[in-house]
Amino acid sequence: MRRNLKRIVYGAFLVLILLLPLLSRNEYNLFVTDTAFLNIILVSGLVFLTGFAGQISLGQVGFSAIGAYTSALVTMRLGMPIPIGIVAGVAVSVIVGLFVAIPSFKLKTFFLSLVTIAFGEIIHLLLVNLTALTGGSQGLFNIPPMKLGDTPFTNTLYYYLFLVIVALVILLMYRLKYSHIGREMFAVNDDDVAAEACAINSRKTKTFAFGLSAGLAGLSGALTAHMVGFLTPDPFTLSNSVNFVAMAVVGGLRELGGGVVGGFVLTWLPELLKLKIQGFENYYLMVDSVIVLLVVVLLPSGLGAILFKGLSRLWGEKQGAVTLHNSKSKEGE
Amino acid sequence: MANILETKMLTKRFGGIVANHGINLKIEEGKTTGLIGPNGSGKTTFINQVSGIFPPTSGNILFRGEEISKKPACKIASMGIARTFQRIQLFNHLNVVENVLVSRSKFMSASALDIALGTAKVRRKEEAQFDKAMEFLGIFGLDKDAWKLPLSLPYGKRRALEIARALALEPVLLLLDEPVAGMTKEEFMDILGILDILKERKMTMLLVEHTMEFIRKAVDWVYVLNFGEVIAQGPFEEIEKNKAVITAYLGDEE
Amino acid sequence: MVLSNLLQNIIGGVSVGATYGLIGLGVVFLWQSIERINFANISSAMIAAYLFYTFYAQLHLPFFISLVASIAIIAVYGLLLRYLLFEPINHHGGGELEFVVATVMLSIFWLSAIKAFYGGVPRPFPPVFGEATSFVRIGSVSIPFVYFSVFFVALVLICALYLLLWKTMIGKMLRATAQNKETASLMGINVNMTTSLAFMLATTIVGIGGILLAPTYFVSLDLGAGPIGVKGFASAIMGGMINPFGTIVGGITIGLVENFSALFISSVYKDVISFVILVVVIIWKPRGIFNWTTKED
Repeated sequence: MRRNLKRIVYGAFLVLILLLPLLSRNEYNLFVTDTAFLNIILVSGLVFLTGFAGQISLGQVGFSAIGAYTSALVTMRLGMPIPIGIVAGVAVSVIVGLFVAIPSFKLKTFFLSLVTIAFGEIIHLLLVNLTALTGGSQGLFNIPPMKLGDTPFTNTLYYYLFLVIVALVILLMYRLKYSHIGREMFAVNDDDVAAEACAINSRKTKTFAFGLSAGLAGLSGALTAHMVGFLTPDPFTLSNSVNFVAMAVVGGLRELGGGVVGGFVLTWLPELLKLKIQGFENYYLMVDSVIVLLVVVLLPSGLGAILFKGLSRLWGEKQGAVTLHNSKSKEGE
Repeated sequence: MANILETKMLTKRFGGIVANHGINLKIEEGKTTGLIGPNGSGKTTFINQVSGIFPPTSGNILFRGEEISKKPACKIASMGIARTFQRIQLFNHLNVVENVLVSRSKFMSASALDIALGTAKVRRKEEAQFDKAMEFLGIFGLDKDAWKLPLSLPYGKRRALEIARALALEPVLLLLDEPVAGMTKEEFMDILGILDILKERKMTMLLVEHTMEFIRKAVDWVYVLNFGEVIAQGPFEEIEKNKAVITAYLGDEE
Repeated sequence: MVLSNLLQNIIGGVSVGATYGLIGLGVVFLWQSIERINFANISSAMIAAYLFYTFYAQLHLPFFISLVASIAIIAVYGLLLRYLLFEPINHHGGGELEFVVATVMLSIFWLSAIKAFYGGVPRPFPPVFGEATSFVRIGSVSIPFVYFSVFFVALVLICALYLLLWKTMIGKMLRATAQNKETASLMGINVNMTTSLAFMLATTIVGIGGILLAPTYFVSLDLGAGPIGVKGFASAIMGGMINPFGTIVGGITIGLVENFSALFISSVYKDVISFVILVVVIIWKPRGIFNWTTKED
């Protein structure tokens, strides 16, 4: 295996992303990239839930909303510091996620997707109607931004903060995937009856997956709230839940980096299209949906799958296990 | 000799259909018991109840004296009952050794927190279980295929893998549901070989089969099911000659 | 005053509910064939309505030609869905999830395409089902004629479908394939043809449903988006995804419940109601309201 080549490529990549904000000082681009990071966090959770554990969810924005509004309210109404707000946002999302797992015990794909859609819609309805708590359609304003001393974070600072968080999220997923927990997920995904026959509690597995993905979605929402400074029910719709699922599929459902690839590509694609295709908003939406459609039809395993398999072949690494490190397979097999 | 498994008046109804009716069955420790009968006689329903896929409508299932009829499948599996399925049900996206490792999860006492932190303890346990899994594969001659995907293996080896995965659970009782269905003569002999290995290890087994040839060579005691009821039981030589059994099978083309 | 409202709501509910049921039938059809839900199928309703509108109201083609052309195009759309979407996804190793995402993306494409070319403002549907101002008098109550004509057409269509599925050779082949593909092909049925037929039938039924719904919903994006889809699915689920009768009854139920909740509670919740029904039925009676057994049992 060309280990050195691998180190060089990853090293170069690392240097590039560390220096990116200093190379491109375009504030708007930085903002889009920051948003991409937040999407990556959510989509990574979705990859874990749907790609690894096989549970479809078309309602992830519901958890995102819970995280966002909880953190906003905790910092605004209870005057808590932002880290506490974020922890609270994640905690509440996780707890709700554990409950949403329950329908998954008995329902399969299409029917489960309907229930998750219902979950998302209900959260949206609550956001619009519980005006005293959420500010209704007007939403919440003046959400405290993250500060360094007395200065609010710049896009650049958010960039580095989110980069660290994304790195930690990927590390967590890496550890989980290459462990018996990851194996249990994939087993339940392939055949939950057979998994139970191997003494795996598929309910516990599904609950864990839902909880984790809900928490990551909540984290993403909470961070968004403080970065943007205001919240309305508008972005928390089915439409966006579908977008996130599209990101997961395009990125690669069974790939560790699926969230990264999908989140990055599909956050940037509409932006690039908006630039290239002047005029009607609908035209770029048409092109965007067709592109995603093509990727899903022609490459259902996702762009990430192509990318990482290609890279593996580049440095001569043997593939062949989902939850075991390749170093375990003997040479020459 | 102790009874590893005993069912008393086991009955299962699906709507208007009675799939199992008042089945009294005993499985002795260390012996291989057969369960045969024509298609639709309720054999798989019986195994599904014992393995916990669904509960009986009435009756008892006693495993080493303990009542298990209301317990969920994963609990029953962890208590020591492993099984294979009529249609081979492997984890097709995981490779051969990973399939076996799924059963070893039970022996991996590492919490999510340990795993998240990537402690040395977790690494040690993973190593240990990996070696154990390779051992089980070795018993069935599958260790060279460890890194292959199940669907790239020939049918006979896939069945062997399924049995290996069940064995990796270190069960007290092994339920095999039609292990040689659809096999060539060669594959059939391989599975018989596997069965011999299991018997050498003194594994208690319940063998559900449709193919008489296989049962003849494999079992110590046979129960015959027809229309959900036990119509005969005994050593194979007696069962073969039993009038009721012959009539039951004559009505069913092989 | 109350009586007229009541009667209007009942008849209106039954009428529009029958069309929901039709859309549900399209969903059930496809589900029985390929065990997948095709979100882009629902778009057929919108596409067919816009096609008819374009041919009849904009290009001023004769009624019959407009109708036949719209239906023909929608049928071909069904065929394209099979060969450009379903088969490639299967071929490249995708499963249910990828199919769901692909069809959702396609339906978004249609929505944005229609919006780009026709604008988002709903167009009034040409009065093919009777003038908007013509009424039928029952006693002292006036019911819009449209309710009756739409219901009548829907009924005719449902009967035609029934005859097709139960009384013709092709129908029997379709049902056999839906039950069990392997057995059907062993019996000599051309499964390839019946699958294509099922796709085409599914989009055609939904397309006609869209044309029937256009008087009420106008020729608008709503026909291809959320609310209609939800009601179609809800009807299908009430039929247990298998029972056509249950699907129609389910659709009519939804139509009635909608109208009455608009009358007694608030019209804001009209769309939510069908959604709630859907979730309740899935969780409580997953086999549909008549407890039809599914294929697996």
